[in-house]
Amino acid sequence: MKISITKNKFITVLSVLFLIGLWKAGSMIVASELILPSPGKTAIAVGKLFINEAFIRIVGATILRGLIGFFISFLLALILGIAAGINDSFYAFLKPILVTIRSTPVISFILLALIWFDVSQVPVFIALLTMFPFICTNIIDGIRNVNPKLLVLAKVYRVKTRNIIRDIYLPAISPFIFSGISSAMGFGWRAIIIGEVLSQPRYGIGTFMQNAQTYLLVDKVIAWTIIAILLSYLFDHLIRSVENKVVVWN
Amino acid sequence: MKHYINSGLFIFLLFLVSCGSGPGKGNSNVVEVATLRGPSAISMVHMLDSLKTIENKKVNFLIKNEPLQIRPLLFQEKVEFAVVPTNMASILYNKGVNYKLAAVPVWGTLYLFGERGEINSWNDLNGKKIHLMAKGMTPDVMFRYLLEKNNIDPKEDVKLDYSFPTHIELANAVASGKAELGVISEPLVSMVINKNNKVEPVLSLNEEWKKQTGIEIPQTALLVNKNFAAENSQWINRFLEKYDQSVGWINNNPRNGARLIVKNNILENEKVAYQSIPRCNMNFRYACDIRDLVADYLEIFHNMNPDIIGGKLPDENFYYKK
Repeated sequence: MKISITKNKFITVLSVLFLIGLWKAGSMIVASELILPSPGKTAIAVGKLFINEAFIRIVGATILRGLIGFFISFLLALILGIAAGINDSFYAFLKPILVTIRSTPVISFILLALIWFDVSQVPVFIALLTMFPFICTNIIDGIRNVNPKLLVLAKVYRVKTRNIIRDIYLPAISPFIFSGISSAMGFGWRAIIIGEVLSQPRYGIGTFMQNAQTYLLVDKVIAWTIIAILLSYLFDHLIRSVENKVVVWN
Repeated sequence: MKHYINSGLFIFLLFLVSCGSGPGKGNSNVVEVATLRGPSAISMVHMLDSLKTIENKKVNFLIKNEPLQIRPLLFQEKVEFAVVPTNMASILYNKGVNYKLAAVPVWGTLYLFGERGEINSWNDLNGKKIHLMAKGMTPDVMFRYLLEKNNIDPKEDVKLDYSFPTHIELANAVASGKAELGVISEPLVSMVINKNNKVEPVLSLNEEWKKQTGIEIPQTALLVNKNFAAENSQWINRFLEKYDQSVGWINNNPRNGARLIVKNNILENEKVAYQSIPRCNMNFRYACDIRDLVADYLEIFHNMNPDIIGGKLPDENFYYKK
């Protein structure tokens, strides 16, 4: 077990190094800082972003949009997901709606939102629409995955509802919820940043990415991209560690 | 994590493939001219309509909607001549893209639009929402400069909205009343006036700019490829003369000019085209004759934020010598 973890970590590092090597080679072939800056120059650009006094506000604004979008969609998904998980008719009603939202290109939502809402609300709206179907679908799947025999048994032995929820439902759905949150967040960050690029709120990673693109600061565009990847990675990590705690607790 | 790596690889491979087909053109007897559907295409319309060859070289015009569509043509040196905003020309030059400023054919054409009687002075803009397009490009930067000069903080006192990403979308929003106040350029100014008689140009950015800085706005740059220029100076002089004549012709023949504008698909409506011509502020000036003026103009942007002109003032090699 331990050996295989060390080995996998090694491969992960190798993979990242490979990517950087490919990038370096590419920048040497292109030989133009304008088209593709080298990893070294980009690393400096990333460093400069970190010491920029507005950095916290820019990244904070994006994170805040993500969290607001996440909490609204989580709450909505929890209510509708539980209802659909328990009630088959409601599930049949909700399913096409979820499929429609999930199949709509993100850019369609953004273009419409730019017409419907105030600029500052656009990325939150986008976050909500991209995250909600993932979480909701997973909650429904989780509930429907609960072993019906266990429920019958619990009823026969007159187990308290509180205990049914705590000991049967929660352990069954929590892995589903966490995997739903994880993929929802992954999509959500990307959608929020596209929304920021197009709606140009005052602070936000997307706003500054677009600015860098306009002024042909390619190293900065890539630097913001790296920040966005790190952000997404950190949140994924955070979700996983919360999940581990919950699973242990169970 | 995995899909990041995958998509990163994909982009990279795409990139390498696109490099393989890289710059360089097969046929040296065709000269490509990229222009913008707006005042710059209007200023060229006479030669665009009738000029097919100069001394055995075919001239081919490409009309694009937005400067961002022209930029990649310059990276890859796919065109000999191109029209872009002057500040973008400076960025490209400073980043080592192979083009020089040959001439400035179009001067300030930007107006703030609003409902008749609503806005009478800069102070009336306090607390208002104003629509701009393309953050960081000329209309946006220029408007923010003028706001500051008129004691309005662009970040606190007004709300700047960039949700209509292109000139055409913004003009349509103003015409339909969806955007109450917006900064737009000719010939869309004339289009909007024609569509909605409740709105009017409330401020000419050109006049306001002159009031503040004492100089005209060398808004649009005609660029020429460096390598092409090194080998074809005589040919280029003939081309620039033709362009100069084309500008003179349209200013003196707005009726016929309007017809050619519609015929060449620059605008749909002849009446709009006719009204737009005098407001397009077309005046062909060779770059080498207006060096100081262009430098002063770029200097103002530089003081706001060096990135707007690519970090520094372009050196003397930026200006093409006849």
